Amino acid sequence: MTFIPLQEAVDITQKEDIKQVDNLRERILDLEKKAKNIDSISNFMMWITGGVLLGFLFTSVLISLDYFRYNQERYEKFIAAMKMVEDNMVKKDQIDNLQNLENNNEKILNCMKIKKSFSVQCFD
Amino acid sequence: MAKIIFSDVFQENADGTITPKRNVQIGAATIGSQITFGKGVSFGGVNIFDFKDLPVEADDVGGVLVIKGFYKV
Repeated sequence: MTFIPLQEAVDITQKEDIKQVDNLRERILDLEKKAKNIDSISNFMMWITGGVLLGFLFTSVLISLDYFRYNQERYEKFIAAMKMVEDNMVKKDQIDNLQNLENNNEKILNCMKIKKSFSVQCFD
Repeated sequence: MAKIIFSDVFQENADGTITPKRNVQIGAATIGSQITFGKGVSFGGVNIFDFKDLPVEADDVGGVLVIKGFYKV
């Protein structure tokens, strides 16, 4: 067993205190490094986000310009297509007339079949 | 001068602090028996926690235990 007098005990305490201070200093430097890293990562992410937003904005502007530039042309084409469809449509009156005509023709044919000859009575 | 075991001089509390069981003097500092202290506190330049559980060399002077040193095992 070694005897440690009080003065030596004081020196030992001081050495321990210095060790603790060095430890704390290292930890502080470590934390500062980590903080710098986080800072640069967050800057990088901010730039990426900014770039994506700018790209989105640019694309939106291009699409909008294109849309409004050719809007009139697209409208006119649409109207022309609608007119074409309308022209090709058979109206209800025409269908009814054709139907009536067909019915009449059928009546006349049946009448002629019954009479077994061409008779004026079938046209009444 | 007498060699005294650490636990006869200081009581270690559940929260890790230390309380002297009687009035103790280290260097120029006197610690009363009602004082509780934690790690990092020095008396007379000595941090008791650095010498925890080591036998103490001390003298009883007028009811105050005057610490002269510690024994390293």
